[in-house]
Amino acid sequence: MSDTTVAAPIRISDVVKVWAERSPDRPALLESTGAWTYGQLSSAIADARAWLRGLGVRPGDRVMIVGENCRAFVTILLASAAVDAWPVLVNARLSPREVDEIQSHCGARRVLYTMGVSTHAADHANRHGAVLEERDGFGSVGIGPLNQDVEPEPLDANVSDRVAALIYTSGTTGVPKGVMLSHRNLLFMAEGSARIRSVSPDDRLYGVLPMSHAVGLSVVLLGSLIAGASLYLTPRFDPMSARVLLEKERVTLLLGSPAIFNQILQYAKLRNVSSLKLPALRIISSSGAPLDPATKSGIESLFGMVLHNGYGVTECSPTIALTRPETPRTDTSIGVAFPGVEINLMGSGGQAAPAGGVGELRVRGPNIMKGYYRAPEETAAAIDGEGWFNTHDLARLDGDHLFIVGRTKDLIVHRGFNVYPAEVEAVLNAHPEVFRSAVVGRAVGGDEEVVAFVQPHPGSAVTRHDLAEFAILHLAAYKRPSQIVLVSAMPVTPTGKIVKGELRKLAEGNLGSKELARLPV
Amino acid sequence: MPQPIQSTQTTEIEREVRNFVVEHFLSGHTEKLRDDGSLLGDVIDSMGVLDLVAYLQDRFKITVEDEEVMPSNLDTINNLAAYVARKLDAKA
Repeated sequence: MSDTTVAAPIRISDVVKVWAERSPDRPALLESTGAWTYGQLSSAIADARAWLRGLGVRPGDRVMIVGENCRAFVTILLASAAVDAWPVLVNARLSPREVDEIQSHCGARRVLYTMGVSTHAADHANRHGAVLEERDGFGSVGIGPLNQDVEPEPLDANVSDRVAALIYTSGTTGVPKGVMLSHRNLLFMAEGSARIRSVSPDDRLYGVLPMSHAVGLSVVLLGSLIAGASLYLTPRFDPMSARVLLEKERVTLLLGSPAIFNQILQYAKLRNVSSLKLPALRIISSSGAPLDPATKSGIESLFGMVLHNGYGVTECSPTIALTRPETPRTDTSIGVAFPGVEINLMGSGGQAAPAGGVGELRVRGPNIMKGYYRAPEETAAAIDGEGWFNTHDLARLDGDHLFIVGRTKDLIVHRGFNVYPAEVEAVLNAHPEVFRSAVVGRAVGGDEEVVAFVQPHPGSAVTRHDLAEFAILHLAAYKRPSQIVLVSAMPVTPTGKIVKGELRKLAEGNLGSKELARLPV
Repeated sequence: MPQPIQSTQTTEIEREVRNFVVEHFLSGHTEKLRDDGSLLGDVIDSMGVLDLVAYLQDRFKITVEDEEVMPSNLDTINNLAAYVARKLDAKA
């Protein structure tokens, strides 16, 4: 991949230049409305740079992009980075309240909306009084009014340390925070990800993970562009359209989330197929949420290949660990540390966890964010003086392979015993009638009860009694749920993570003995 | 020669499909269904597409091919009803 005549990328927008010069006619970005080669993408970015300047964007300004995966989103993002503005990446599926909070907090100079592919983006654009513009290759883009009351942030003297993306974490607890990721952070992640998977210009990636989130941005988008590969952009996932595209376009890498892979399993059940062999596909990998053993084995049986796993958080750009193609696992380990990243498990009392023991996972390396925007205290609390970032996830090491046990804040202490919700969830999820479950604690008179929310497969007649009996077979008494609540849907973030905070509130409310038909959305 | 589906049948298909979408995806809240609104990705998420396909196949005894899962066939109540009518017409 190296070329002595072209400088190594410094800004994320530079990743396109190598291939625009070396092989301008190779396909870069493809979507249902059309495709661009690397040459065309490079030209589009150059045009967009001038366009943004014309819209009043200055170096250090925050340019908020409300959108879903499409060429417009990618171009505006890379052009903003190229002019040293800060791209603020916002998933159009966020609620009006969430979008407005981000806009207010980041002090956006302009807000742009990828209306061509996203009715959600169009709704936000209409709410905000955006002006519609049709641009070549972009489709419809909404341009929000110029905010004259904001000031640009000063630029780092070192270009690599400038903010390349500002991503607000939805998280599963707490208030969203703006994570500042530098060019160095994102390029480190893109290069490493591409190298681990041996991504080359002959590869075709399926770009369904949202690029407004860290893994979609650094691993999928930049990981594809930096290797000169082709990326099929799709703003939404359904397993039927995905199957058609994977087959027709001979996709070679499929990076998805457990939710996506579960939907593929449901598709296989609907179509009554036991095998989905795609000869061109060489790597499938899951990230973004815990991978259930049942999902892993189901997908591996269906595709006839290993389903890899990875783990990360936005603050770490995001990958902390992943399984390697050369050392596949049969369990749901999150793999080994990303090359160049240090990991450390801290036990109680601030000492290192004993060998094989559970500890709080801390991370240090070129992937650690610059900090939280306009939140210096939260930044100081997250990254210590020696550069260690605390994930607040509990993990253990088996050799050099990591296993996530749960979140520190999720730990339930029942009758003096530690109950890890992830363990109870794994048992419930192994029941053949269960689609997914989420376990939370409920404070009751000085103790904590274990409460399980269970979503059965569509059409299932499983009862709480069935699941309670199942739990008796597989869990020690202190780990068994005091209450099992059947639901037809779970509250999830735009990336499919279950929002346990909402479930905790429900658990603390008066659930009684009723089964909830559907949780309020 | 097969006769085209009558307009009253299309209206009936539309009524049934509308009822299913409202009951299954909107918890009975008819007012949340916008006539000009996009169903896919808005009212119906990716898991919902599977439920929708299962319903169409069971209720109307048609086969929804993977290649037919596209906005022009499924994205509005009108498109859905017209799609089902075409599939039934082709079977007749």
